Amino acid sequence: MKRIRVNRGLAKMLKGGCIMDVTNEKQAKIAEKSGAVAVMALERIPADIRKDGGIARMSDPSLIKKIMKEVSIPVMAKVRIGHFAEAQILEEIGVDFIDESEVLTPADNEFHINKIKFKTPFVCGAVDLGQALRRINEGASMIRTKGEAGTGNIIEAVKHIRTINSELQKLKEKEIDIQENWARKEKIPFSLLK
Amino acid sequence: MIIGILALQGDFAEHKEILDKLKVESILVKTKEDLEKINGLIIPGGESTAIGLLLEKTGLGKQIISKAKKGLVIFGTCAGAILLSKKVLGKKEFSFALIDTVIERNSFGRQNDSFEEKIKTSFGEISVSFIRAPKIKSIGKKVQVLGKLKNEIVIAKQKNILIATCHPEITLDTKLHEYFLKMIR
Repeated sequence: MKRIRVNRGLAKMLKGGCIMDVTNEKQAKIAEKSGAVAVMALERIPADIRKDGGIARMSDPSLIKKIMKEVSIPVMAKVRIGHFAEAQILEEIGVDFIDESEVLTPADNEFHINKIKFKTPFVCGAVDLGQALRRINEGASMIRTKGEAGTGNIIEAVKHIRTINSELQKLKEKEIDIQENWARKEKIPFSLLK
Repeated sequence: MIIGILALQGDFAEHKEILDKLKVESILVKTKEDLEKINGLIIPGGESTAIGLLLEKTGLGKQIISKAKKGLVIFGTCAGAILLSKKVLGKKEFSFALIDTVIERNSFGRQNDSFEEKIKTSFGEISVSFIRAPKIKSIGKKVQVLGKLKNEIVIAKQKNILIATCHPEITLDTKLHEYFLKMIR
């Protein structure tokens, strides 16, 4: 419980800030100088990942390490959905946040990583409240909306954050048995929904 | 009494939560006009480089320095402590330079090294979290040490300026904020 509070704490420190995608240490330095609160270390930016096709994996650890050395702001990196071994590597390297990301090719079509087991905080994408709470239940410290990766089109991300907020608002006004029913249907512990 | 919380970036909402808990009126400070309405200022945690840049660009930084010199009581946590310190090791960035301390960013390590701990202070034991926290490396003669974690100084004060390298607003321990409010009264 202490660990999750410290990790959510870091997420709180990032609020109101910009996290920049970077592909080398030079870009990372520019992002830091321009006021980014964190950088996402990537081999290729999402637009190129989409264009190139094929399997998109975690970035090369040596690239991530170089970027960590270059900047003093937090460094994040992405792992494939469900790929706990990639996450173990990132934890060992010492990145400040792990993004279990749909931008990369999913490694498991059924389960996400059991994130509670990790010391390093995780951020996950969600398109609705059910997904967001399932990720939190698995141990995610921060939730982002998904959007349409690599297209530059933000309309999906906006739609998803509206959905999450309005679902939350509607549920709040409902009777407790309807809330319980919703939690059961979405496979979320009722205590978490509360 | 109205407390201002600098709300350019970072965990200002958590500081507001503590002040709400203490039933103290507070506003989020984003403009120079907001500064005119307050009796004390909190500079929250966040990324000191990002907050510093915005303080410089908006001119809020200069305004805050002149208010502090006229006696405005200011309390900074983590990034706030870095911004208030006279010297930041190895970095050239915006600084209020209002307290005679030398501070080093991310000195406890990266996020994997972040932790929660109880610390002894001159106003009792408080529970706080250290998140990629800085370390106070040295202090001037006028600086008073209020709290320590083993041998590290983690809470310090000089006249109207109070700094903490940790976050009581994450653990929701109100004691440090109560101390800050007493400095104003």
